[in-house]
This record gives sequence, structure tokens and C-alpha cells, in this order.
Amino acid sequence: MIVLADRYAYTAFARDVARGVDRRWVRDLYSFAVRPDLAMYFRVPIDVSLDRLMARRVKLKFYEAGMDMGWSQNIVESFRLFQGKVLDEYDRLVHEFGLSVVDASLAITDQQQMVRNLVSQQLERPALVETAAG
Amino acid sequence: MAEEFESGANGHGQAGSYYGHGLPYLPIDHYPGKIIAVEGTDGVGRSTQIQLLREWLEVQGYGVVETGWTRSALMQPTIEMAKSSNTLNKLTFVLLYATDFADRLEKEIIPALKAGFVVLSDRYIFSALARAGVRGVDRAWLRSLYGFAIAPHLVFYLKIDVDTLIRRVLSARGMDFWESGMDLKGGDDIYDSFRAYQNKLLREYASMTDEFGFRVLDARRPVDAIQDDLRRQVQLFLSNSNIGVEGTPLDAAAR
Repeated sequence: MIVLADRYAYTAFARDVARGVDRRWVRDLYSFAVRPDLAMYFRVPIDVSLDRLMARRVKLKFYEAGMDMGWSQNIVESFRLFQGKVLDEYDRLVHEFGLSVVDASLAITDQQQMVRNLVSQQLERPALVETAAG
Repeated sequence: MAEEFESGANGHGQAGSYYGHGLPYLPIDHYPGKIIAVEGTDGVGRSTQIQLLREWLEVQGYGVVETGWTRSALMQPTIEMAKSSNTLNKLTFVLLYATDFADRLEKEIIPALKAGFVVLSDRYIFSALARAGVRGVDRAWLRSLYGFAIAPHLVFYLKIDVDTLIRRVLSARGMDFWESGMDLKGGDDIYDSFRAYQNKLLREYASMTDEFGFRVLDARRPVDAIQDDLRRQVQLFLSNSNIGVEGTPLDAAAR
């Protein structure tokens, strides 16, 4: 079976550390997680993600905007500050865990092409039959 | 994903400091309060002892805050729900408890230490370590998980044997599913399961006695005898500390 996971432990690594949790502790905590065969990170600048959320007129969520941190009463400003730290952490994770970066500011079809290429490469590997993760 | 844990709860923790990395955004060094934990298995008499100790401390002018396992406002309903449906597995069990503890640590224990209170803790991380250890959760991982805990100033362990415990529990309220370790599927007989599970738990506590420096109290004695022991040791500790009778929380606030 192929398990498609929408977010994984990396989300916790990025968000929790942005909130001030110890980097090493949160990694140790999730040491019970299976290491994925392929982890894709859709990277997008904050302005683009804000524009997209605003264009759909969604209300920014309290925790998504890091309002619990008390950095700003303005939810858009808080989102910028908090997600900025989250993105910094993701950049660190890319190197630490070898995440495959997909440029999420590209057109959806281009992104999907990249995703299919990455997945194909993974599926063609004979190692898939083994359950042990890299 | 990491195989080796850098640090965690262990016997080298300095009382009043985090065992491991702790909460980096909440430095707690030199807070005047004290944590006194009372540990022991289900039905051993912890709550009774804590209630008596609390009254005695308050009469002497100490500010006392009581905290207890699974009592956090955030997690108590969730834990009750999860327990009643018997759907917890060993990992989710551990994580729910740890979340409960984290919530109480930030919202009850640390503020109380900062304000110079004596925190009486009905169970501490050791119960969680024992229960999870019995269920086969990796001990090194558990200790790393609880690296955010604060090493208590005193840990009293109410020690009992399983026969006395069974008599006491049966005459008081009967055996419950989780206290009998029925989730471990050792058999359908709750009595046998209780005995086997509590025996394992007692062994876990015993193995932690030296590791974490428990002060062992024989819990088979009458309530008053145990309480006298507790008071004597607590008195000695507090009179040698910076919140002795001259430095009660009231005085600290006036300075």
C-alpha cells in the first residue's frame, strides 16, 4: 500500500519550534514515527500564501496565525511573524531530513508534474518492497 | 526518528530545575516554590495523606497548591472519554498523560513555584513512567519525553504489598478496568489481572526508587503514622529552605 500523508511529523517540528519548544526534544518525541520514503515540501513565500488565503476570503485561523504567541493583535501581522518562523524551520528541515522541495508558487500543473516525477522515481526504486525506512 | 536521546528525566535532575531541555521559553531557576510529590499505586492512600499534609502546611502559613494526575482542564474530559471507550493504545495513553502534565506544568505548577507556593502533587511523572513501562513502552524514550518535567524537591513513595492493596481496594470501592490492567489482555478475570498488573507496577516503582531517590514510606501502617513521617520530613526540608516560616509567600510578596 501507498500511504499519502497530508502533513507529517515535520509540521510539528516546524510549528512547535516556532513556538519555542526545544528542537531536540520534539525530534525525540516523534522518534516513534516511521520515516517516510518520500517527503515533499511545498515551499511558498509568505506573501503568496497570504494572498491565496485572502483571495479565497477565508478567515485566518487563530493558531495558524500564531495568535496564541501574543506577538501582534493584528491577525495578518501575527500570521506573517509566526509563519515566517515556521518557514525558517522548514528550510532547516529540508537539509536535516532531505525533504524534496516543490516550488509551490508555480502553476498547479507544473507542480503536479514535479510531484509525479518525484513519486515515479521513488516507485521505480526496488527498495519499496522493504518496509524499513531510509 | 532519532535513535539516541540526548537527555531526559533521570536521577541526576537538580530539584527545582528541568530534567532535560525543559521549556526554553520558561526559565524557572531560582523560583522560591517547592514541589513535593506523593507517589504510589492505585488505592494506596495518596489523596488522604495529601489532604492532611495540606491542612497542616496551611495552618503554619504556607501557601499550598495541589495538583494531580489527569486533572488538567484541557485534558481531563478527553482522558475520561478515551478511557471509557477503552480504545487507548499504549502510545496514545502515554501522550494523553504527557499532555495533561504539560498543561498543568505551565498553568499550575510553574506559576505556583514562581509565587513561592508549596506544590503538593498527587502522583508525578513516575506513575506515568511505571504504567507505560509495564505496557512495554521504551523506557529511554519515556524519560526523554518527560525531560520537560521539573525534578521535585521531595518524592515520597507510599509502598505497599499487593495482598494488602487488594484487601484495601476491595473493601473501599472495587477494581476498575484500567487499574487492573485489563487493556493488557492478560485474562478475563479482573481479580487475577489486578494482582498481576499491580505486581508489575510495584516492581516498576521499586526499580525507580534508587534511580530517582524516592523517600519510601510503609503504607501498610495507620494513616496517622504515615502522616507523622511525612510531616517530620517535610518540616525538616522546609525549615532548611528559603521558604521557611520567616519567608512565607506573604513575606516574599511584601519585599
